[in-house]
Amino acid sequence: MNKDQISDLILKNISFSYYEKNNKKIILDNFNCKIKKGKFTSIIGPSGTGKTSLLKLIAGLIEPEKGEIKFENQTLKKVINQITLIQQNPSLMPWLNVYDNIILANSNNKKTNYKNVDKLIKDIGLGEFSAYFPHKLSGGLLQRVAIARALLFYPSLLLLDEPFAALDNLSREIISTELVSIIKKNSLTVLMVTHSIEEAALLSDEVLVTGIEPLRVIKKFNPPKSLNNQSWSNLGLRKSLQDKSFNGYLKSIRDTSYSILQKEK
Amino acid sequence: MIRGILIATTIFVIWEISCSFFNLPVFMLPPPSKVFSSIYINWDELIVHASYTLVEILASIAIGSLIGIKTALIISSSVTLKRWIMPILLASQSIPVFALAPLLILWLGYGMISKIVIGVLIVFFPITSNFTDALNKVPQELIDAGKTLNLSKIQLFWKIKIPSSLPGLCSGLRVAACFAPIGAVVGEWIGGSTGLGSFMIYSNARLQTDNMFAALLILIFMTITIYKITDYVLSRYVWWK
Repeated sequence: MNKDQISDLILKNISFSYYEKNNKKIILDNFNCKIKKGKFTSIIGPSGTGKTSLLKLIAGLIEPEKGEIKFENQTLKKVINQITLIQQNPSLMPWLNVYDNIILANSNNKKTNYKNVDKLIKDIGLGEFSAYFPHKLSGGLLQRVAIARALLFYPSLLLLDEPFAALDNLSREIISTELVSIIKKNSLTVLMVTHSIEEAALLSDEVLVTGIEPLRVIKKFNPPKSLNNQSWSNLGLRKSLQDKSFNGYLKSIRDTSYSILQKEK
Repeated sequence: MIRGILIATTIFVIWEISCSFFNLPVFMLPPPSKVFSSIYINWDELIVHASYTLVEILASIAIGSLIGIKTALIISSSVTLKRWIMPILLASQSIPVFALAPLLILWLGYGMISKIVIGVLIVFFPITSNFTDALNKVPQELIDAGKTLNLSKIQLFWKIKIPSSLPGLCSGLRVAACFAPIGAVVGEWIGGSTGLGSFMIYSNARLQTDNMFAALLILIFMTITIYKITDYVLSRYVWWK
């Protein structure tokens, strides 16, 4: 194993279940997976199969019954301060304005560089909204705040739980492009859960297609080489959609996902 | 404000006409004109009594709030503590304050302290109940958001749990602002020579019903004013839900 592989996010023999009306529901049973450091990985699969639970386990919000999660060759407890999660619901504090929501984790930290905060707010398109309270913002802007808040945390591992699901198509394209460009610039390791096959194929370096009950990785996909060096701009994304090799890549993920769904239903 | 004045004026007009129409004796139901004249005549005395009652009400709200908030924080911090403390709180609320008041006057004397304690007993429970409920119902997604930002337990408490529960506390404070005058007046009815309650008992014994109504109107005005100020301040500073 080389140094990079050791630094990967490694999930080893993870089991997790919960009780629903006295019935034990097994979500993960000896789940194994490796997420490459510095890469954008997406997990796609049907809803209600435990993908969110998987992210919550990695974020330390829930504990596995057994198994081990390691990142940068360290146990989860030691690296938990390098991991953050952006959820589908932006979960902003309604009593704080945009600026205070963004610096929520850093407000008491004397080392916080407020010039960086201002730059980040500007970069993510929230410049004129920094004094606004969440109830005055649209869904797209709320999600931008959640993204800015997570990025200011300077994570090494960013977990995304359907972050663009509540957005309209245009906001989805703009925000995802901005987020990916920031992610690429900072070489963050990203694990995203999504229902959108197209989104996963467009944004990710690796796509994991999962099976249901219990959740497990059935197949991995990597984009064709011709797409690897695309610039992360709106134009790049639109070009990707017209690209023949991209369309073939997208079709193979889609076909696999549907065949798994048909088989396991 | 205008709506309040209109409602009050309508009530007074109907009241005045009814008294005159049914020719009711003044000691049974004095017309508002007689009540306002009593306020004018007894103004100096009423103001002194009202100031005692006001101090008792404000002290009850302040002390009751502190005890209510502290109790809610203790209860919500531990399930075991909640199991021990909650039955005591419920028992304290099942005894009517009218039954406790004579005992408290006996133990604490005829002064202000007994009346404030009666007020505190009435006030603290709605605050405890509303605030505990709010603390236990902080949306999990906000707690999770804080945890994923690596906030410590203390930071989660001060930065998320407390602000998120403040609307619940405010509901309790609004109820307290309405109920506090009951405690003060019940205490004054039972013992002592100061306060609007004692003025009412004194007037009742002498069939000075207009004086009783005068004290009652001042008490209503005080209660509405306290509630409105409380509501204004709380709505201004705790506007989120």
